[in-house]
Amino acid sequence: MIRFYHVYQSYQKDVFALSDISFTINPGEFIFLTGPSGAGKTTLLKLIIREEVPKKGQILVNGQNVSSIPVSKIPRLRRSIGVVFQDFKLIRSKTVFENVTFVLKTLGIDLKERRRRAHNVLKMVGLQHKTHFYPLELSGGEQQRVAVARAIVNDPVLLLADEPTGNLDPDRAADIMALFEKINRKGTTVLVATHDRDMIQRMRKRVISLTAGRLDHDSGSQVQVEES
Amino acid sequence: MLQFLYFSLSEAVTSLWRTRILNLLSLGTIMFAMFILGSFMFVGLNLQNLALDWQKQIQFNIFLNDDISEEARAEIQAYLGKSFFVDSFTFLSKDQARARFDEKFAAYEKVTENLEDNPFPASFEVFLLRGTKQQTYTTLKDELKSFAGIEEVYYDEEVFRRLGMFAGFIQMAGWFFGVIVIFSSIFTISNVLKLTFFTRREEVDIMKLVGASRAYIRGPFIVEGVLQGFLGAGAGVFLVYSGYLMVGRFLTGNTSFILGNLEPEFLPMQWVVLILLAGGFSGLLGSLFSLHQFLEEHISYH
Repeated sequence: MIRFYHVYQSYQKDVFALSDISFTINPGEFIFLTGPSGAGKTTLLKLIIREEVPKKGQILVNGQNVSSIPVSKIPRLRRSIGVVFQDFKLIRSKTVFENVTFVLKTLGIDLKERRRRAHNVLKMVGLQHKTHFYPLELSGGEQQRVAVARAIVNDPVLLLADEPTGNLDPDRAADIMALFEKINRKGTTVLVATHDRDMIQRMRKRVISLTAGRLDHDSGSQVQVEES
Repeated sequence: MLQFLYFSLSEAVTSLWRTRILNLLSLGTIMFAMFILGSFMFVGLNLQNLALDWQKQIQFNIFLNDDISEEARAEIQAYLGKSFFVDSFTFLSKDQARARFDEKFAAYEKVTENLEDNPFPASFEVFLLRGTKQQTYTTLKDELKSFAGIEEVYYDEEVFRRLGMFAGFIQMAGWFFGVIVIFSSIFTISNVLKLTFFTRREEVDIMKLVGASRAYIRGPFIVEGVLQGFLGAGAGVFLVYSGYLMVGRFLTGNTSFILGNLEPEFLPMQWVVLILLAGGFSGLLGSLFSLHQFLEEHISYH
């Protein structure tokens, strides 16, 4: 599903945000990407959705080399990936319903179907009663759940989440993670960037750990051994 | 395609409403532009109508000498009666001419009262058949010269020629000013859209991140520009129509006015459609211009 081959990213000469990152994520996996603040987690996610282009190396996402993908194919790539951004990135002038269904609208899906899908995902995140609210009328936790709903509404093959439980209380965080597991069981590959150690330990999934832009640890095989 | 148009239209309408104060600027400019263009077209059209109407049936006067004999007058009358091109004619005696003056220019009644002699000449008012060419009139005029007792044959062709030229000039000026104000509208729309974009910059960034295609990002901006142009032009045409109603009311209420008989004609439907299209096209150019010059780098995926 995702392959990184010796990927480097830098914003200043000789200062690397990511350095020689290589790993493979298979379809249907659930992975935690962890590391301290500034380790490069968000940068790595940005590279996957081609928000950034790596300075060196190759990145394959769902069979496409996103380092050299034509600009015209970027929208399609992004529509196939659900992303929960750290700062939510909700459109303030649109309601919860409009935010969640925006991508569906650009795909030409009719209103009835958009309503049905929005209702389903908003019910999953417990916000079905706030469809007509605007983001600024919601709490931080509620906005985060809207971001989750938007990320999963189009049944993505890959779900990326950048600190998706950062603003949630433990119970709600557990609900969101349970939701991610449910989506994962349907076959969606899930990559969650977080530094919530308790949650990582509790969920016993594969963990890729970054430190100062380098791949510090990949528990891939270890988790599979433990699970088996 | 329909879905795309619906999306662009609904997003554009929402954006127009959200930034309505800002949009009033471009709407006002294009309304003013189209009002100027429409007004010139309206005035030019009606002046031309007037000139054409007057020219359609040539009317001239044969002023007679005061000492013309009865026989000479009868000869002229016989000539006019036989002429193929004369539609109708009436004889106006000196007294009738004076009475008509008194009736038409009541304010000057005292002037004529103080006159011992009647200075108004007797005349024939001649109407040629509709469509008769000016050349025919010239031939008639030349033939009339051979009759005794004629003081002057008068046809104010110069006035009509100048009126026609003036109408043409008004229309030309309309196009000239129209083009200038349309350019200013394009410039205004372009700048207003840039400002609109700044209010929606974050939104555009998010649209890109969730995978909206370039067309879906650009579409609403373009439609918004076209709508601004269209609505502005519509408001401009409405103003011209209001002016037309007011002019009509003024003319019917002032029959003594020189143009009192004129029934103004509003712009033909094709011209109205043309003005609306010009507005929409200005909007389209304005939005394309701002997208090309300024927004492309923000909107494009790179």
